[in-house]
Amino acid sequence: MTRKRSLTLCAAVGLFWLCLPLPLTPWLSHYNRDFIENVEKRLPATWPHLGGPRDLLRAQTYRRISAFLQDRMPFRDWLITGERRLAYLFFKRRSFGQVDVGRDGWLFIRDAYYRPTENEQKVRQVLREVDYFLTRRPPGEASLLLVIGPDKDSIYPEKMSATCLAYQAKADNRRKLIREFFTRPHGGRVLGLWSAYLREKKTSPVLLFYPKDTHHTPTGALIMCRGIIEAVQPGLWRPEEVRNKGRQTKVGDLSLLAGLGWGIDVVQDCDVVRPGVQLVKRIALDHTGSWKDSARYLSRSDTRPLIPGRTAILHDSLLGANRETLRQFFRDVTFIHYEKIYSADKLQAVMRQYDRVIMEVVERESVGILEKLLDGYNYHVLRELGPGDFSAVTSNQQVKLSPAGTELVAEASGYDPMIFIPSPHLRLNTEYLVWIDLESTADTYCQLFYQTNDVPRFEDAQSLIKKVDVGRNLLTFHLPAGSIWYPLRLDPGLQPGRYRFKAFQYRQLLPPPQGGEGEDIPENAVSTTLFFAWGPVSRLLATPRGFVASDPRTRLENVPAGILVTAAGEDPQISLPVLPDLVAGTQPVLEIDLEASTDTFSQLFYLTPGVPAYREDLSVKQDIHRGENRLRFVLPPESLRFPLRFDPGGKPGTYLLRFVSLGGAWPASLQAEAVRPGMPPPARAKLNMLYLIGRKKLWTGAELLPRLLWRQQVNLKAAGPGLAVQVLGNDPILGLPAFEPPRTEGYYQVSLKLFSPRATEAQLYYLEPGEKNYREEASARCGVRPGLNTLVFLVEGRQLLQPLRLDPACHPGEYRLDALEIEEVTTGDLRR
Amino acid sequence: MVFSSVSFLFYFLPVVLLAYFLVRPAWRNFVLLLSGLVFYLWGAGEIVFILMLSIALNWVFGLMAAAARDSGERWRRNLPVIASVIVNLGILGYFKYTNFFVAQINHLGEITRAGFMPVYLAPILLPIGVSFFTFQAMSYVIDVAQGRVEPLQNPVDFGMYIAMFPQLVAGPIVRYHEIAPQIHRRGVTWEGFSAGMVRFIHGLVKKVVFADSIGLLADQAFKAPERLSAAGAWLGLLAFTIQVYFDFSGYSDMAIGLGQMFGFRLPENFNRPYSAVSFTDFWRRWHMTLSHWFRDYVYIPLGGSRRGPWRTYLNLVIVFFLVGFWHGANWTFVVFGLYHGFWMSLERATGRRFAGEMKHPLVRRALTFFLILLGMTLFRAENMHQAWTYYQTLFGLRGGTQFLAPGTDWQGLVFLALGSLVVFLPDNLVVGRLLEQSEKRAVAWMRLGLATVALTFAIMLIVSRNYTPFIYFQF
Repeated sequence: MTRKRSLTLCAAVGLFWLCLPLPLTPWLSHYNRDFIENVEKRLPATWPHLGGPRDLLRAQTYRRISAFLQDRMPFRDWLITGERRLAYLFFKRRSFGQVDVGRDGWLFIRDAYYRPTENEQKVRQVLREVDYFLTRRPPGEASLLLVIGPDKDSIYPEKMSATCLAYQAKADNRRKLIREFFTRPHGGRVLGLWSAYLREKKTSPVLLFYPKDTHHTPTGALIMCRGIIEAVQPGLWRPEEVRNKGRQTKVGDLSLLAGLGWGIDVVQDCDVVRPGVQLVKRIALDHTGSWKDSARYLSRSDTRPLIPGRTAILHDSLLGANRETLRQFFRDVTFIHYEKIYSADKLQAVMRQYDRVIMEVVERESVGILEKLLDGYNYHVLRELGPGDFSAVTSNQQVKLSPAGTELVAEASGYDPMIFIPSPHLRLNTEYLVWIDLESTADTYCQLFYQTNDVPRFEDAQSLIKKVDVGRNLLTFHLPAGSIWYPLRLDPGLQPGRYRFKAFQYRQLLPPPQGGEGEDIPENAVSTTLFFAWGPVSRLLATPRGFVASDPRTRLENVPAGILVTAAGEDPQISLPVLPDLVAGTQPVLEIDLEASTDTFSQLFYLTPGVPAYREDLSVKQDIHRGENRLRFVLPPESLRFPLRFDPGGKPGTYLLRFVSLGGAWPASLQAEAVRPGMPPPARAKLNMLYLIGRKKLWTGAELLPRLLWRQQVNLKAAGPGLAVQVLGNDPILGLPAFEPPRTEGYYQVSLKLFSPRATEAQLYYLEPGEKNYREEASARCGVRPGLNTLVFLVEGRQLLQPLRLDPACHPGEYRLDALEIEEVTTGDLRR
Repeated sequence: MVFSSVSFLFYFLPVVLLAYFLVRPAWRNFVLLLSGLVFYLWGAGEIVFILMLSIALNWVFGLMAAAARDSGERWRRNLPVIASVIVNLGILGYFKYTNFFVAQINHLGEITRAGFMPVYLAPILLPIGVSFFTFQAMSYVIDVAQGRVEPLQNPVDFGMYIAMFPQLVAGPIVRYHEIAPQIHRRGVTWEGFSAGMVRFIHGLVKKVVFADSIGLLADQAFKAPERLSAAGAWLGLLAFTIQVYFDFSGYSDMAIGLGQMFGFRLPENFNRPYSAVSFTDFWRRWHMTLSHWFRDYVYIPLGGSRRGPWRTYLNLVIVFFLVGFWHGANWTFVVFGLYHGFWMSLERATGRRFAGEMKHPLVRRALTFFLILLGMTLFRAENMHQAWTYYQTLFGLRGGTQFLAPGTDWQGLVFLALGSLVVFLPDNLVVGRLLEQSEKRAVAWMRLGLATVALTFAIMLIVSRNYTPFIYFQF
């Protein structure tokens, strides 16, 4: 063969290769479909939907066509498998996507030992929930058995390669916690099977897991079945009923996942046959065409005892593949794949319907599955928006909100739609859920952002993401315990489309079994909120609204830890300032941290209209003991219009006031009439309080900090009397609380003391009554020079009825807000 | 669309080839224009209109330039050229550099505390190939204005020259006078087609098998340089240097091969650049069409080397500053360009530019490669900070102990070794060349076998890239 001819042949080979797929594609696409669906476990890409000629100009359309063609490339499976096998044999590749190759050709799914997203904190949180679920079973619910199936790498760690171990070493701090937790019996409600498997492995050479598959072999399966039966009814399992069935071959799912082709394992096959147990009836409850079908099995036997009652087995593939073995032990057992009860509400229904529930969870997914199943299992609704009343929900960007019947429709025009949802003020150290009933037109993700005291801005680290499928979704977001700011930001999806909200709920998780704070919240309370804190108490004596000793034998003095009350007599008395205008309906709660030198009692006296003197029957008494005490007094709403009298003790001695705060509970009945759109009730109450105490309002920066309604691109920190404002971007925003003006006509002066490191510009936005969105026309700008500035904005009274928005600068940097003052300047029209 | 994709290789290309050879020769330019526009539309969407606008305007500028050639007034002669430069650099500047300049202005305002309002701008996506087609369009108008070639009367022909898909998105940059005769008359023979197909396969294998495999090593190294030992960092840098050569030259080979299939002879773009004995030599071997473009349209108009040594050095620095900036809107590319400009000037000053002028070419070759290797850090780093970190790691001033990232397989290393042999061995020892040129029967069979195996392996790699199993699949 000449050079020329060989080049021609090379070209012919190339031409043949390049031109072959085109004519074959229509004939072989079905063949590819099988491969994609069975091996890749997804659907083949579809031809893009062309809504009009403009779609022909979108690059995305062609990307989809490319994906469509890729999935229909003839011989796709051969080429993929071939490449991976070559890489395995010749290049010693030991990681294929999520699959790692271990020793002796064993395959492991990396997900089992490398889950960087499941950190220790999350695992602890989920395990707390599980513990709570296990220990607080209400009467009337089924008895429960949680079965944890071990992972292959837990039982055969010696088969893991250096690659597996390198991943394991990176992020497996959670495994120990999970095992520690589930090996505890939890009153017989948990069955951890690690030791059973390891024991069997030690005594028998028969494989308990398939080398190329994630699952246990029939022998391994019997260990799990035996564990369950013996946990439910000891003595029922008889080893002699195990039947050896010879050899079994299985195509390894991990081999497929790795793209290595049809790796086949050959293992010993066995099952259980209980003589005399007859299947009376099998009732199909649904049909999905797979082992995930829910089915009920009714059995009877004259020779073998059966477990009585109705049993539900919530399973995945470990138990799902052993129905035939398990059903022989139960008189009435229903198998339900856990995906069908993938919400707390559905799990609750199952728990009420059956006598016994057995729940299988595989070790590696235990956190994720249990989190989803149990999230919000025990709660009471704090507040519900909708159906029919979503007026408090506001749009932020790329989304248009419109009511549709009893629902709220969010039309997202971009890829980052955002809305704000108000919430009740959330208490410290209490766990809450946000539950959303959402219908989506696209498969996407929904993200809920929250802010905390530590990180007062919306960012990914403070967000929760849930998968949203086309159709109706019930989403539960578990807010972490801690100080959460409102409003919350919700990005309903990551793409344009229509999102239909049916309801939002705020759910408070029921208190932990040990009891604790919150149990004396009135029945009708939505939540409690801090109205006003006098802490640090050392400042109390120096301010006009501070406390005064109202009897000569009581002395008050500042000490570093607070205010020291030295009582020479048996009835020390302190007068608290008048707090006259709390919004009607609030339920004031006074909390005091008090260190006493003796065991005695504290008493709080209050006055009501028509009762000008303190009386025993208008007082709240609480025992205190030597040492630290937390006192909590619930007062009638009108009592704050008169001076309060606090008697710290009934004996001479010293009493140290460490912290004093005034909070309030907001009765649910007041919600509708008291809430302005966009302003949750506690905020309103809080603001009223501040204004009316001060008359002429003077907020220092530090006082302003907890009152800001929202923020963007800023970090805030109290800095002495001021507020350190670290501006992170070019568009920082602070949401100032609304200011209830005594008169809506006339003008008010909003003064800011702002220190700036550079020349920039500040802007104050206000809302006219009825408006919901800030506009450029309804704002005022003010130049800012380097150094301390006093910026004065003039606004009309009615413009103070809704929250103000302050953009303190338009450059990143370290700013300081020393004070914000709002005062009435005139009732005339200054503009003339 | 990229050449090494399923949709291009197995669907787009066969259809275009079929159409090209089925239609009458007079319609072939139209087929190429249409396929070029579809090719561009596939990757860039509606930005295809920018390409079409550029074609239309530059075609008009070409006609204007031809009409004004005999004009006595200088401004009239220069006007079409100036208009073309403004339009093309305007397109290039807007799409490629606007975001960069806005970021610099805002940054400048920040560090000088000038107090002006920052400029807000939504990110502008860079259309593929904009750096190439704008340069080609300018070369056309300039060549016509200089009387070197006649203008194209038919907009289809001109559109085909700009939008011909083989060289549309990554070159070679074809100066108009190089291809002008082929636009109307080009011979398409089976021999030429075969040579083109072989060249295309050659390029595909270089890109998919070598560059992409070696790239895994480079990516791992530059992803976390702080974990690498000095030896690991040198290996990563070497991997990138070899990768970028195989990647770019592979793409050029594919473009040239495709051109040959359609009857064109596109200019060569690479000639064993890492065997250069100086920077001057390097730029005569590396991305040659870009070097030629800058030489003809920037360096010589600036005065070249005719205005004394200092002006020559300045011209070199200016040209290489622009070459660096052309590669990307990032300070790393600017510094990369200046780095090369500095060495070019130094070589010019010392007079040691070519192998014939020096006593120890092997030593010079090694030294040149070492300096090029150092410069490649700037080419690969995402920003100056990363480049600085990488340099520190290279010289042991910081970094960890890792030589290779955990889980690294042999594929990258094997192809790095093979690629290094191809790059560093003398020309007459490179196996590929021997295979290509030998007339021996056994070699001919080996050539066929190797081409078949390599192409099949490349296709395997391309297809398996799209293997995306659902990870949490139902066991």
